[in-house]
Amino acid sequence: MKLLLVEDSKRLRDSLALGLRKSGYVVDLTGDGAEGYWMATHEQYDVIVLDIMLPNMDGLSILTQLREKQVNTCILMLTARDKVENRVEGLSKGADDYLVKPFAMDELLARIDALCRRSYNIRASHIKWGPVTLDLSKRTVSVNEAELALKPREYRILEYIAMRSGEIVSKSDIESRIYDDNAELRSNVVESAISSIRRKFDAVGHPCPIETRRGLGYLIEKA
Amino acid sequence: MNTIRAKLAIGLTLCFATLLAFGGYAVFYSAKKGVYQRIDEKLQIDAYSIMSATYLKDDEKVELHFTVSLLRQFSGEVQSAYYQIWEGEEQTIKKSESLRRKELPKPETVTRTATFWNMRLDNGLHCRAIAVRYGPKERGRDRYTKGKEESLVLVVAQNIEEERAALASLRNSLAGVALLILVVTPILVTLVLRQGLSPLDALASKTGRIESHTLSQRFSVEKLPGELKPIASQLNQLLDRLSVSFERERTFSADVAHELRTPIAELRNIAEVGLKWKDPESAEDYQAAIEIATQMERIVNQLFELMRCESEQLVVSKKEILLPDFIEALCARYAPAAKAKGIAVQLQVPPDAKFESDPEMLQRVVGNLIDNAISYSPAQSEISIQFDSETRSLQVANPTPDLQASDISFLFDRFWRKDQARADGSHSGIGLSIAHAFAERLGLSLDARFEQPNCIVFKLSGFNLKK
Repeated sequence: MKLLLVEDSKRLRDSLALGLRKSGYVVDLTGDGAEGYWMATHEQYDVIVLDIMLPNMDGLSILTQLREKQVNTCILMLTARDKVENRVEGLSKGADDYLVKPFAMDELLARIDALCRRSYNIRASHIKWGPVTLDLSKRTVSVNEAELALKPREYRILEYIAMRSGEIVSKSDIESRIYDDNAELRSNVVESAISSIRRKFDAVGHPCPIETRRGLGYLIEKA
Repeated sequence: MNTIRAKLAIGLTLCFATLLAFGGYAVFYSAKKGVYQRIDEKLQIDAYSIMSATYLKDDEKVELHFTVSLLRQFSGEVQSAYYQIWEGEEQTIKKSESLRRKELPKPETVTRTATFWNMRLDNGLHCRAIAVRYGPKERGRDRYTKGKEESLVLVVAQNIEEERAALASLRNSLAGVALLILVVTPILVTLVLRQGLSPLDALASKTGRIESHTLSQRFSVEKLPGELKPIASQLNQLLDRLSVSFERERTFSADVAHELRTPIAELRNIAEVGLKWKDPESAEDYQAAIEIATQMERIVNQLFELMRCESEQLVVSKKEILLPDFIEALCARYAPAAKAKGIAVQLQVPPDAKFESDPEMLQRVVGNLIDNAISYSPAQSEISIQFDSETRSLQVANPTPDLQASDISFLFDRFWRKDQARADGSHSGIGLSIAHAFAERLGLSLDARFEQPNCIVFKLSGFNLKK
């Protein structure tokens, strides 16, 4: 999942980015409001985490203009303003969620997870295909209740394709959503990860739900 | 009850009752006086009629030649008027038929001048009487008998039971009306006061409804009675001042919360991320945590400083200060920061300028100005510090490409920054507020102005130079 984090405090921005990346998210960062708005309109994100008080363009203006431009990415407002009218103002202008500083990292992660699920119209915390269960909150995959030992990035690939089940997901799409810009991207990095996922499924005697569509991408059929 | 309404009601009722008592008494007294005056006039006429009709016969006996009307008046049938004539001191020589067997009382002293008094007959009837000493006329001549001018005493009495009854009725009526008025007056006074004081009640009610979140309400002065207009105007002015203070407090609290929340969020996040995902780069995080703690400490210390200064807990301890030494020492303190940005400092201070002030507090003022000048000037620029002996003011000028003239009014507000989003947390926006508060405490005034485009001048004035 790819996030945009727009926060003017460098220390908080860096620390949040570290935590989010460690949680498996791909994170783009900026501390400038105008730059954040540009990034939000020129790149596809699953969730935007947006501070209110920002240099050059404040968070509420970014939010308003994004919604006016029909950018429907889920937006979580992150601010030190805790008054009810501040929250109402943010939510009424189109924010999907609101978190007041200081906050617990786990709460932020849980809210971002929920927003990611919402952006793919998934309400449940589990996705199932027969005996295969993808637990979105625990970030685990199990077959007949036996947990597969997937690496974080392998899990993210499976989760991303599963969330878009019924759609063909291109390799470049996976690269942009799952791999950070600064990650070392080799040409076959996605194929290698998917091969590894398939091997782990084979090891438990169950076929991997990811199908390859040559020249197009990958697909998981709807359950 | 300690209310204006109760005091006015009691006072007005008492005043009204007193006026009523005096008025009633005056009415009764004048009525009584009029009645007795008419009776006395009649008695006088009757007495003179009898006196004119008294003759001395040849046998030295006194006889009365009454007219028919006079006879009828004193007859036994009418029983409304009486007379009795004494010769010498004791001998009754004539008395009216109306007296029958009764006697009129004779005053001990009777003179030629008529005297009037009230009396009661033996049968208990109340009468008004006149007594006069006189003499009989000579028969056939209309003159008093010589040597007998004061030989007779006449007492004429008039039954006044009817008049007394009428007066008693008037007195009772007046008392009844007074009682009724006394009962009704407090009710009427209360109603009138309620009506009259209703604008005051409305004012009190509206004042009572004012809460901290409804301070924008104002009283309509024009619609109020003249007595309440000054009160309402003063209340409106008070509300203006309260609104400003409350707004400032609200903004201040929100700003404090905001300023502290961000570093707390940073600290918490760094700690949580550090604990959850131990990283070889965590030394950097710990450094950041220390910086955040320092920033929070600075904000708290500045707030305490400001609070102590504004609550006048700071004691001003004045000493003689030689201005060039003072400024040079301060510049030396900030020289590393200026050097790091390539900023040159121009000093123009008279070598002999000295005055008395609190050096510590003055350092906080001037130091803040220099720190601000260095922080907000572009790199490789120049700031100027000069003392103007004519205006006795110290001026710190620096280029500020970001500020505009409209920002001047906010410069000394707590937590005000041109860009509300903090980039690095190095300035919380309290420094100039502290400088302003400290300057006031020292008896100086601090203001700011734009001297030329993009150049701001802070002027600290009011120095009392020593010669």
